[in-house]
Formats: sequence, C-alpha cells, structure tokens
Amino acid sequence: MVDDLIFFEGLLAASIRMATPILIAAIGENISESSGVLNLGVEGTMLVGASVGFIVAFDSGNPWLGVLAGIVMGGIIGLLMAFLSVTAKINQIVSGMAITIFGGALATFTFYSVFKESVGTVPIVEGLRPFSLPVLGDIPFIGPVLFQHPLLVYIGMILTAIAAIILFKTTLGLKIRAVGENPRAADTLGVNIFRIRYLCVIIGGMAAGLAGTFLSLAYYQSFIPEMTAGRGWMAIAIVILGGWNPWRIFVGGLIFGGADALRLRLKPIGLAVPDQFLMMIPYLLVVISLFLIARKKRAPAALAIPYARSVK
Amino acid sequence: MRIQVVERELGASFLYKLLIALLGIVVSFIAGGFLMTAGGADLFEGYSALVIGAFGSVNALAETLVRTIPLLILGLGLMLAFQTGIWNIGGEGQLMGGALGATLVGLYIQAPFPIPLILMLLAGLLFGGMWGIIPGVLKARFGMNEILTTLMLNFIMALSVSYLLYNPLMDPASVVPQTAYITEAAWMPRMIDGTRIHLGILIAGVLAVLSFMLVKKTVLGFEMKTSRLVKAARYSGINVSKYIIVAMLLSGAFAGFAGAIEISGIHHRLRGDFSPGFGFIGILIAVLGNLNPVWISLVAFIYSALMVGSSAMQITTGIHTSISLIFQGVIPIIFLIVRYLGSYKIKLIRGKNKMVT
Repeated sequence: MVDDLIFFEGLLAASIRMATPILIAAIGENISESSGVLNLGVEGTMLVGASVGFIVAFDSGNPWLGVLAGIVMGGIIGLLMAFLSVTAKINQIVSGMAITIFGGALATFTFYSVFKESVGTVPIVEGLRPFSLPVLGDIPFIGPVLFQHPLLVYIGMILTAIAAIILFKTTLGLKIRAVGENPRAADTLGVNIFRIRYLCVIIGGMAAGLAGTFLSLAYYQSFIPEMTAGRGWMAIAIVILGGWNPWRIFVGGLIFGGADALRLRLKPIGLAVPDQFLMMIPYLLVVISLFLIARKKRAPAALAIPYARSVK
Repeated sequence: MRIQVVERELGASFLYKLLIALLGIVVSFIAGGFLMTAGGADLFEGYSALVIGAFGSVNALAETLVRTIPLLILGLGLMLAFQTGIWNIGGEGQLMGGALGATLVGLYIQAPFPIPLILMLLAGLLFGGMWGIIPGVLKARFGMNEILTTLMLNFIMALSVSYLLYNPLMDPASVVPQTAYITEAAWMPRMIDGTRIHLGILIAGVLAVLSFMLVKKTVLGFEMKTSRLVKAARYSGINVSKYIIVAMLLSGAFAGFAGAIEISGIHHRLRGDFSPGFGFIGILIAVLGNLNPVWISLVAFIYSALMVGSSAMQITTGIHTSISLIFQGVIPIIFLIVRYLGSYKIKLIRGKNKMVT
C-alpha cells in the first residue's frame, strides 16, 4: 500500500515535469496558430534552444543565462519562420519542415563546434535543480507532486494562464484571433496583419526555445542530438487536440506528459510489454482523441494561408 | 525618376525561372561558406570536395543517381497528394512500411529471379498504400486533420519497425537491429559494375513520365487537382472524398515503392536507419519542384548531389557530420527566399513622384 502510494506520487510528479516542455512549446504554437501561422518548425526550434541554452549555461556557469539565450535563439528562429511564411508567403508546411531540418542540424553542429567530439566525456552543467517551495512543499503527497519542481515547471503553468488571458480577455488577443480568422476584415479595421503575425510567430519561437532549455538544463543537464524525441510534434498535436485553447492544451500536456512518465516508470518494473509499444501509446492516443473529441473543433479559418493585400 | 518594386506577373518565362534557381543555388553556397568557415574548414577545399564528391567520378555520379531514386519517387508521390490539397507529411512512415513489406517478401519467398523482386516491389506498393490510405479515409470520412494523422503514423510505423528489428526479424548473426539479407533473387540488378547504380533509376524515370501524364492528360488527374477547390469541385459533381482517398493511396504507394526499391537495390536487408529522412525531404522536393514532375526530377537530382557531395565535403574537411544536414536545411530556405525575391522586379519610373497607395 505504501509502495503503491510512493509509486503513484512519483508518477504524478514526473507527469507534471514531463508535461512542461510539451506544454510550453504548445502554448507558443497556440499563439502562432491563432494568428493564422502553422509553425511546423517547433521540433527544430526546441533543439536550437536546448543546444544554445546549454552552451551558454556551461560557459557562464549560470543556467538562467542559458535559459535566456535559449529564448533569444528561439525568437530568432521564429523571426526566420515569420519572414518565410508572412513576408515571403512560402507554404508554411514547407518552411516549417525546412526549419525543423535546419534547426536540428544547427543545434548539433553548434554543440559539437564548441565541445568537439571528445570521446566518452559528455559535458554536464549544473542545471536548474528542482526545489521545494516553503510550507507547500512539505505537505504529504501533494507537496512532492505539485511543489517540488524546477522553477520552469511553474513558469509553464503561469505562461498558460497568461496566454489564455491575452487570447481571450484582451484587445490584443481579439486582434490576434481576428487576424487568424478573417485577416481581410481585420485589415479593413486597421489591424496590422503583418505585425501581429510576426509578433505571434516570434513568441511561438521563443516559447519553443524555452521548452528546449527545459530539456537540456532542467531535465538532462546535458545536450544530446535529437533529444526532443518528437516532443515538438507532440506540442503541435495537443494544440489541435486542445482546440486552440491554452487551458485545454494544459490538460493535454498533462495527459501526454503522464504517458511519457508512465513508460519510464513501467520499464524498471520489468513489464512484459516491449518498450516500443509503450512509446507508441502517445501517438495512438493523439489519433484516437482526434477521432473522439477534436475533429469537430474548428481551426482558425485562415490557418496556414498567407495574407496578401492585393487580390489578383 | 524613382525606383519602385512591383510584383512580377505570374508565369514568368522558363529561362527566368532557371536563372532564379541558379541564383538561389549560388546564394545558398555563399551562405553555406560562412557556416563552413565558422566550423573551421577551408572554403575552397570544402566546396571542391563537395563537387568532386557528387560529380567527380563515375562512382560519385552513380551515388548521386542512387540517392535521386528514392527522393524522386517520394517527391512525385507527395506531389500527387499536395496538388489534391492533402498535406501528406507521412511519407517517412509510408516509406518504412513499404520497406518492411518488401523485406518480408524478400526474406520468406524463395523463387527464381525475377519473381521475388517483382513480388517485393508489389509488397512495397501495397504496404505503403495501406499506410497512406488510413489517413486518407480518416480525412475523407471523419474530417480528421491529415497533417496530424500522417505525422503520428510516422512514429507508429517507426516504432513498429524498431520492435520487429529487435525481436522477431532480427538477424541472429548480428548484434545490431537489422534483418538477415533478403534472397539474392530479389536484388534489383545493378547497371554498372563496381557502382551501386541500379535499375531503380529507370523505374523512377518511368514513374516521372507516368505521373506527368496522369496530372496533365487524364481526367483522373484533372479531377484530383480540382478536388483541392472543395466547393467548386462539389458544385461540378466531383466526389471530393473519393479523390482524397485516391490521392493518399497513390501517395503512400509511391512512398512504399521507394522504400522497397531502396531495400532491393541498395541495402538488401532492413535496418531502422536506412532512410535519412527521405519522407521529409520529399516534401521539400515536391514543393521546390513546383508540383511539376519535370522540375521535381531536376530538384531531386540537385538535392541528391547536395546530400552526397556534402557528406564527401564533411569527410574531407573533417568538420562535424551535421554540417551536411545544415546544408540540406539551409539551401531550401535560401532558395525559397531567392525565389520569393525573384517574383518582384525593380522598375524605374520616370516623371514626378506620385504617392503610392
């Protein structure tokens, strides 16, 4: 019984931790998609954030400078995506795919340019350690589950709230959604489509960069090529499953973080199910939940359609 | 007199497009040069290694053509989906599926040449097509977003193949996850001794011609293209759902076929890492090639030269292998930007300045 409780406590805590990178990236993607830009470059942007964040944290000895660097690099990649999709009006699936290929390679290249490939030694940095919140962290069960995480976990939750408030309670959010739903009407009303879309895509990139630094600084304390392992794609999936609503995306993040955590915890128990099948669960879950809940949800009407003022 | 930037009329001449394409390549290489210098390599040495690596000998050229085969077939298949308005980004999974089906045939069917080979290619078509038709039906019948379903099916297929390679299909004589060799009667014949160039290049060429005919000359091709304009198509009595399924079936079958050809022509066994992301690169190729089989053939060849040449460059200069991938990602981006800039022209306007509205 006590063992079960400890297992359960650890599982819930890990779910919340594993949800964080997916959640942060998804919140950024939500903002970008709400303005009408489908950014498929999340996976690559996360990797760049993870790599650059790690390098800066390693050199400076300060993980928070690393986090900042990851956010800035994510923003720069976002700027590139915005230029390609908003200004150059290149098909967003193609530009996103190019950014994912480029970003993943850039992350690996930058990392090995700095550290070379010294055999056997993996550089490790003193990353963002989890810490226990005073008083709250001492509550039995609830404390370890909710209040003993690295700070970025709470930042992810705060970002969810901020994104929800901005999108649904502010004039800026109204403008963003208008640009994503009916850019021509928004344009007529004097909303600067290009500025809004640039802003949203850059924010999305910054969030992806931040999500990447969580992986390299809070989760692994190191950088490994392809360490995102599909989390960027999962972020895009939960944006769609969550119907472009940050709160629902939060729930989605927890579910998929939970699936990740469950897999890692079932493995040492020696379960007879092969690891590959356990790893498959999140992807199957996406398809099934898309079938059950999300297929009636409507995407922003102008999603993935570049806006041009002149009609030809 | 003042200078104004105006948009070019659509349908610029073939020569102009070619010029822009060449300019795109040149600018890409300048940008790539910066990266190479940043990585501590000698620029001239690097680029000559790239060109020699891709075209410098019979073997190099053969390798470039070998790489062209899967890229071209995938690009053509994805083109069929894209021009129907379906964003199939599951090429990688469909390719893996085809390779898996083909390998099963190659492993277990013993018969004189060319029976296993033919069955293998058919299995590739079948498995790839099946993995493509699932998202097609989900989209057509239930309106499920195909970007998401095809993407998820990539992961599901990759993990399934990984499971099989580590367990029932693993070659007992091997310590790495790969199958045993397929029967020699299923190997695609090579064309030049001492190189790896095989008959697949001719098959790919035939497929390019066939898909050109399909798109430009047949009713099926026309109705597929029209399906993209969902409303207009419905008004003119075209069954959009049917063409969504057809497009995904064909697209998946092409990808699976490419997978079968890779196994039969090059690897002769299934390994989990046999594809360096062909399915994703195919998306770039289909779109960079303007969804036109002629351009797609050209782009597939150039991209293949880039892949083959940049790994030669990496070996010669000794910079990290990822430089090759950076090139592959950066060049399409810069190319697309140059093409965008090329859609504008600078006009000199004589006379008084007018307000631009």
